[in-house]
Amino acid sequence: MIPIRKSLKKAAAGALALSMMVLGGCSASSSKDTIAVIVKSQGSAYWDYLRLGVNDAAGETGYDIYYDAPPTEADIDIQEQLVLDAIGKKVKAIVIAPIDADSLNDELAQADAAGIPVVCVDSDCSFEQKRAFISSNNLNAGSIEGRNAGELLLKRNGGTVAIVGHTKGAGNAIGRIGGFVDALVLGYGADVSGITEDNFISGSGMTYADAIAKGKEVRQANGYPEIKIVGLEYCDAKQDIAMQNTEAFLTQYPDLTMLFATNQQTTTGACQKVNEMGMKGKVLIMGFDSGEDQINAMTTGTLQGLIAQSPYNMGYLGVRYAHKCINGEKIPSLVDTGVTYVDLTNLNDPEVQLLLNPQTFENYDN
Amino acid sequence: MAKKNTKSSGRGMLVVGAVLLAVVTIFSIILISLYHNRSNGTTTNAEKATQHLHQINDELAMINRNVLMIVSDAGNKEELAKSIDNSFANIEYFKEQYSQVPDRSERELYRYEQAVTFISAYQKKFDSRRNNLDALDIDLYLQEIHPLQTTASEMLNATIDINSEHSQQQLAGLSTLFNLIRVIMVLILIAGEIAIWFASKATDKQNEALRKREAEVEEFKSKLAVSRRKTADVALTNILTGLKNRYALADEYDQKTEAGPFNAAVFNIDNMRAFNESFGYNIGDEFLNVVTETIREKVGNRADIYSYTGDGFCLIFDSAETDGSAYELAEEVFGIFGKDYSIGNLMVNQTATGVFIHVFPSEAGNSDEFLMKTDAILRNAKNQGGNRLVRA
Repeated sequence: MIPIRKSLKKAAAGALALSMMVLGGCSASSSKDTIAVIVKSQGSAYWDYLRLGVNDAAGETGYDIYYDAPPTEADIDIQEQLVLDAIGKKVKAIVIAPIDADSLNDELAQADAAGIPVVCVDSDCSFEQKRAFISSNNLNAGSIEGRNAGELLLKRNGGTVAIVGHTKGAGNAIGRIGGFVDALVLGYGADVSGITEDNFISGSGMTYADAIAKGKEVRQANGYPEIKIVGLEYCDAKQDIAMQNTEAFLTQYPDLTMLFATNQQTTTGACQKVNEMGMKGKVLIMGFDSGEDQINAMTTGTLQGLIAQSPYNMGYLGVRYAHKCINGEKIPSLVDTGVTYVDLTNLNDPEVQLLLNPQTFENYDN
Repeated sequence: MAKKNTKSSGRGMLVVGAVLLAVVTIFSIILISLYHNRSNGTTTNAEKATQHLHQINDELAMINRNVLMIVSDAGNKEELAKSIDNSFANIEYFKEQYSQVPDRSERELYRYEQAVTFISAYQKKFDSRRNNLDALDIDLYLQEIHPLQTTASEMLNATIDINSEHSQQQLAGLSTLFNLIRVIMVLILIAGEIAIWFASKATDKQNEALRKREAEVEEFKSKLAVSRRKTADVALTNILTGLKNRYALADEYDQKTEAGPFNAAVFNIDNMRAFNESFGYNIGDEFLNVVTETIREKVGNRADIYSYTGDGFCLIFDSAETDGSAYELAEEVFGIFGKDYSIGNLMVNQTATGVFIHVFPSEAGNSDEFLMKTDAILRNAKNQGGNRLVRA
């Protein structure tokens, strides 16, 4: 009896110790690591959608998020400081939508030196050590927008187009405008002589002179009506300046056929000004990005079409890739999250609703 | 009463310990079985889900390859398109398979729905050009179709990761629960052990008490035996001479006869009554004591001596004595009686008559028969004048 009891006691003690070790191991979970997500500005539905994706990915991969943005897209200095703050907080990775392609390089180099990987979303930067750039392809987006604009302009038998750009020199503005201009010139024989050579942008690297010549050639070859790009102005991504620019265009060209607005603030500004001036439907608006205001403008006839990006997917993949970087996994250096041209014909399609309302998307009906 | 309590509580503890051990054993077996079933189920479901998600992703990659071949004019467009149709049909089949895998987390399903929505958008883009494959150009592919494939594939991979993470969490949770219950089992086991330990302690106490009682009983028995022996000794001893008396002879006679025939001698002092009357009983008693002492010295261990009456002695010789040696000893004892003894200031002697007899048990079955027989011989000898040893 006694040896059995002794061995039972030993076994019991062993099992107890083992269990305590296992349970101890379980309970000793470390606190969550943090990933910083720094975007361009506050108070925009676009960035709110990106943040939704960020939060979903953080929930799936198990991180805390330090999310911040300067008040406006003009506050480059503040964005620089936010990067330094993130480094100070010893975040594990930085996901950033740089306002300017070059101005953050020093701060991002500091992050890299501290072993903090950098992933760019929405807009690219020239910092070479960035691990990935996740964005819509702005050139493609501009091109798609340009093709659809061309079809609408053909239906109106040609016309004039003015571009309400958001930020001069911003990578995404250059891409979108360049793609748009190329599509209209190469696809529909548009004339770019209405904008100055200094303001001219081509996605494919055409010179100003080549573009004028190519437009003429295409127009004549296809017998297209005259389509003229008459102006391009920037607004520092501020809605009120976009409205002023819109008003100036409509004043200067009362018969303007189309406005191309290159981001959310410019689209909202253009729509608002067109409505104010009672020119809804008379002037077509091709917009960019999809907030509640844009969808309302579309359903009420002010906005004819827009390019829906997938900020949700950018935020989602940004954090997911940051997580992979932290784990030492390989990630692609460039991801095109795609864009979708949205108009009244596809507004209610599930894939469009997924882009427009990621927060309310529930179950796709198989 | 207290001892009874200890005993029953010890047994109770043993029963409790045994029951606890049995419960722990049975419960552990059930628990291990449940744990294995559950963790196997979780693993199987996770593997199935992952398999179907990979199948969907692979089909999507195949579709994308074929679309790219159409776009690049790198094959029979219609054949490629049919292959794409098949792949989309396969995706539908795998989606159906996936939807039948139980136990998917909400998060996984949410991500999965996003993935299949992008696949559906991809299919819609392709179908819109299905009847005019030449319109499927590189711009359309790069700008509108390829990003859908990239996104759908990323979402599927994310779904796989969520699935893997979820199943690991489930297994970890299961494992934690299992360990927790195991700790409880171990605690119960320890409680059982303690119960058994107490039971054994209680049994030890009980045994100790029992041993004490037995020792007490033994002591009491021993005392009783001594007391009995003393009582018996008194009953079987002639108070005057200290020799064993007639009752002792009666008791011991049976043992003598069991061993077979034996030799005996019986002596009776001649005219002891007249002696007492002449010198007084005190002198008579003293004379008997002196004679007795002398006989004891002479006989030693060679015979048992009984004082079967006040003036009679009986010797039963040891079986080691031959007939001759026994008779010689009887003659020497006979000689003791005729000598002079100094008692007080008197010199006295008194003869005796004796009989030496070889006893066959069949002739004298008990001491009474034996004494009757010797008495008859002694009476006869005394009638002839006494002071002689007769050989019967």
